[in-house]
Amino acid sequence: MHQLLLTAKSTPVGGAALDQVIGLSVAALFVTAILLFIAWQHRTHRIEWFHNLGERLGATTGGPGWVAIPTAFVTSSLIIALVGFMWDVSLHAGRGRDEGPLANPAHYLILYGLFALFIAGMSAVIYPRDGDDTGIAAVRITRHWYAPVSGVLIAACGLYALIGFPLDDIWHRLFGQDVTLWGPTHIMLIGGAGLSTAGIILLHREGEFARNKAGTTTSEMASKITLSIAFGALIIGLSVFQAEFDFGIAQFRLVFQPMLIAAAAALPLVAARLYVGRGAAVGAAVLFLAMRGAVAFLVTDVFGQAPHVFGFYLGSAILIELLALTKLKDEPIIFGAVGGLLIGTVGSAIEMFWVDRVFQFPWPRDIWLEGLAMTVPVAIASGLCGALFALGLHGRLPRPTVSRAIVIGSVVVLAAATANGLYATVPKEASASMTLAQVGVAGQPKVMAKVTIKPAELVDDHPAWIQITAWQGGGDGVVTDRLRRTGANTWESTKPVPVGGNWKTLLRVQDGRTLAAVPIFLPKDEPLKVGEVRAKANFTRDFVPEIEILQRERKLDAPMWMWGVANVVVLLCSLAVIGGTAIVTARLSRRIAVREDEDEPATASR
Amino acid sequence: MMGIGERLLAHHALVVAIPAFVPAIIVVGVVLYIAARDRREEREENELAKQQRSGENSTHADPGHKEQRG
Repeated sequence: MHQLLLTAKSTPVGGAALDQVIGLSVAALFVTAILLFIAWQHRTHRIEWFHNLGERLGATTGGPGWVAIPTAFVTSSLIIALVGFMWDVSLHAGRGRDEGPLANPAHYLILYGLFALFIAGMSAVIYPRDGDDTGIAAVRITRHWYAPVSGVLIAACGLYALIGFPLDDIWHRLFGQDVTLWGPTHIMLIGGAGLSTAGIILLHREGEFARNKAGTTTSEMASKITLSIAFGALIIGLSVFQAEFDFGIAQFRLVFQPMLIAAAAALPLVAARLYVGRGAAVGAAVLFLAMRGAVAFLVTDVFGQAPHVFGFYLGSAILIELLALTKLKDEPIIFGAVGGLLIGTVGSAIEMFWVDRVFQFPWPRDIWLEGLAMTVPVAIASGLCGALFALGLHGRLPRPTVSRAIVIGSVVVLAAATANGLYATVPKEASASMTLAQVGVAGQPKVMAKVTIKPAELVDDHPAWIQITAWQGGGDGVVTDRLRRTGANTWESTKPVPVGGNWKTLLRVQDGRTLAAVPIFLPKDEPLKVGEVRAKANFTRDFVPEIEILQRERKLDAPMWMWGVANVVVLLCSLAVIGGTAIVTARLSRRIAVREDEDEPATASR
Repeated sequence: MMGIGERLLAHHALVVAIPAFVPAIIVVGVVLYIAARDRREEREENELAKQQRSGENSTHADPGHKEQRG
């Protein structure tokens, strides 16, 4: 922590301090050696406590040990990773870049969480011994060692997220430290952790078959609650992609926000209702709100970092519960599509009601049409995938051609919507003239601004936002001010914003595809070799791409082909992990279908 | 190279990868090794069993197997 505070002035732009790397490597190898030793002792009957722990945990939750141990382990790992992640984003928003990947205390939590996630998946693989029955979709490791396939999936998710860590560092070296959540390697870190929750749901299902075979049963209610929590965790996992909006520092167009919320809502909510039953969608949304609320409280009020908020989801959950009262529930695929459509439209309207009151930036008329055009297809695709997931868990997946078409189509729809969202323009020969009035005290300067934008027709009657943002100044974290319109092309501050010190203060304009900024104050940054941009009393400056100000750390001179190759590598890893989840679901579904053909009464559908 | 933050920086990306990644690779490697060894043993046992079977009805056995047995 002290390193962060000490080096605020001259934080290097990439690379980890060598002593941190050595220390952590030794610690990690030591832990690995211990874990391998325990695994070996367990598998050769030299110790029994691991087995007994699984039995005891399994007795309370009603599942076999190879489900109970990873479930508890994954849950704790993900909670730690989530706290670390939110803390990390708030640190970046409030204080700026790190002195390398290990200099930020939150990174240790994320690193632990992701490593523990991998180990949790491996615990499902290690636990079964002596040819234990590990369900119907088990993967053969040796002739006497069968591992649940979902355990392998969870470990793979953990591994995928862990690859993100070194890759992230290489990325920062090549392209500079992009202080945005949506760096491709960041998406790997988040995506791996998020998808592992689907692995837990699959593992739970695998465990049910081992249990049914053994003749023991668990209470319906306990199982329902466990699964609702797991689907709530899946919403959390998918919702973290919105974190920039949650902190009020979105570096992308506002049209993304409704799309991301609907995408994160439709899949888990549709799947929860179809697979778990009545009330599960609402249960998942309530768990989401409680968990995100607790993390927000911890990061903001306990750690004292930049505050953040989150989407509502409960409205969409109620819509899905209501839809399930109709006959559509018996047609899962159609239910998924209609559910997605409802979430994309009515659900988005409910979210807008929430966003306009809770978030720093409401959804103005500027984004409605384009927002709907992006949100509805993505929400339908997400709902369809949710229906597929539920069908897979029931062992009733449609023909492979249909399932594949839905999954691939969904990825394509999401990619197209994302590409559209990323497309933003910077106006040429446009400028903002500003008059600043000093209102702060000495040592903590603040300004009120009057702004005139030229040409006058640059901004229409309903822009997405005209705001002044100050961030990374330490202390307060992020300060944003939505400007009050005083004329056709003039605006003024509604509250003082800080300048000076390490603050990066800028005017931001978003209207339609226009996404641009004018610097008000930027500090001198020696490692980046850029000078101070001073906050003069009167000035006129041209609009520039936001990335030049918000991400001064970015090296924009890296060759294009290198950027392309790097993105393709990350894309392939990501498609692999999505494909892996689909394959595991399909495998489980096939085996369930075979089992149900064999003995009908053992597995009555819910 | 000395960083401007007067700290020695780990420059080779693989060095930075060690704490996060190498332990996971080791664990995966160990499991894959055990799986590969078992499959090899199984193959050998199967072949042995096949040879024994082919030995029992030696009239149908091919010369190659006979040679191996010998």
